Amino acid sequence: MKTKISIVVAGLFLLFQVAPVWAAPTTFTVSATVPLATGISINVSSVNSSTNAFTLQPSGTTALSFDPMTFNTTNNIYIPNHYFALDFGVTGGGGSPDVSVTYNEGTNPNGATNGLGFKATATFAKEVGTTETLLTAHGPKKRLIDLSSEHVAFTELTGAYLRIYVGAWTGSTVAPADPTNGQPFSNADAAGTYTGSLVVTAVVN
Amino acid sequence: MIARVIFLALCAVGILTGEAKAQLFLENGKETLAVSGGDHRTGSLLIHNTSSEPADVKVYWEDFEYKSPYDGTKNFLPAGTAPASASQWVTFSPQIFTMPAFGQQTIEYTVNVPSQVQEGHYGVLFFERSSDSLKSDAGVTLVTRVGCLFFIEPKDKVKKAEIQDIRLKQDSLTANFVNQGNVILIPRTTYYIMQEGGLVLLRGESKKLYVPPGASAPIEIPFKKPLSSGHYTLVVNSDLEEGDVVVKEIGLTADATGQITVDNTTS
Repeated sequence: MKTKISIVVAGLFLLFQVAPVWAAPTTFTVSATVPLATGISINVSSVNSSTNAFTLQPSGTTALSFDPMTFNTTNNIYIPNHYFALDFGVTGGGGSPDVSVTYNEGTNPNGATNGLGFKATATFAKEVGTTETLLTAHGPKKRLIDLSSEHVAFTELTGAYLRIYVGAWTGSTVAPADPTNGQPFSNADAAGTYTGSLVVTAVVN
Repeated sequence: MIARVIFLALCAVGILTGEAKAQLFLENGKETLAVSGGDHRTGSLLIHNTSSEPADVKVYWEDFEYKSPYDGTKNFLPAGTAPASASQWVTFSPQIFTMPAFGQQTIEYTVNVPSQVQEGHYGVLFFERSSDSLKSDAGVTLVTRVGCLFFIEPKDKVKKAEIQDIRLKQDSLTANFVNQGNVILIPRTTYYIMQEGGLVLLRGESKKLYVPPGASAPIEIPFKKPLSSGHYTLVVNSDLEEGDVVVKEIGLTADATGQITVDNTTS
């Protein structure tokens, strides 16, 4: 009898020794870190000024030439037959990047002033599907020369993408009207090639 | 494998938020380093070409400064020209490379911190699509670039700020968030108005601010509805991250005509 009791007590003792081992909870930590990623893409379309028909340019197009320009005898100015639509896709991960736009004047046959930045404009819009909304906080139309760290916050583009129209200044009063401080290309300008660069930057905050 | 899944997920986010997939996609948009004097730190950044065309890329450093009204707007400046520039501390390689279609490139960087570091130092490493063939002979040349912000701050940084210059306007209250520390502060400011008895009448959140040391950024708190006659407490709470908080309590009194006055303020 004593032997049986001893065996039962020993068994219970072992059970209590072992139980905490298999009953103890184990915590597995599962984690993943999404970085603050930044990406930018650009699609360039040439737009017919008469029909407003878009022609998508080849991937990687970055050269926006207004040539050939023709002389408009009614207004005595040179006018291109097209303008450009630049569609920017901005990609973010854990945080969406903002976009800033800066124009730098390039070669200017007129000298120190009245270069391409005075004679071309940028119009800011956001696109949702086929719906376009002009970004009035950014003009919505400005001379290129006035673009200095023009900051488009990601909150302005939620669910949308940024489109910038780049065109020659013609003095148009049709909304969105050309800024009144712009200039056309005319015979008052020095002959030659006018250039500039539009730097589009995407960074997080 | 996990990195690939995360990358594909990020691309999916991009598809949802923009029309086109990124042609340059930088996995790290911001590097935050807590350093001590004399530290030697290394790291890497990974950039992808998500287009079907090869991409020539040049890498270069610029300084940046958040500018007024400190809503995230930045000035990008030549390397070494900003007072808090980290350009002399950072080296990186390669500086020019070509990524094949759908290719990727790792950029290694090194940060050599001087023996003493008194304040935060900052800058941005830019990745710019670059090629002579991309330049326009006439008209406008488009330049696109993505950047990784570098925040290099001392481990014993001072995060100190005050909410000052409280003023009442027609339907709002304005104040200034003043950074009195030695690093950039990025406060997320929330507020609520309590009636006597502790009942919260309205609450809201101000837009995020990006305030460099010594700068003062405006905060505006709109009164979304008229306050009836009585005493109120406006509590403004600026979360500075990492557990640091700036709190301001402002006593308000509204009279029978709806006119509001500031009674007192406590921090």
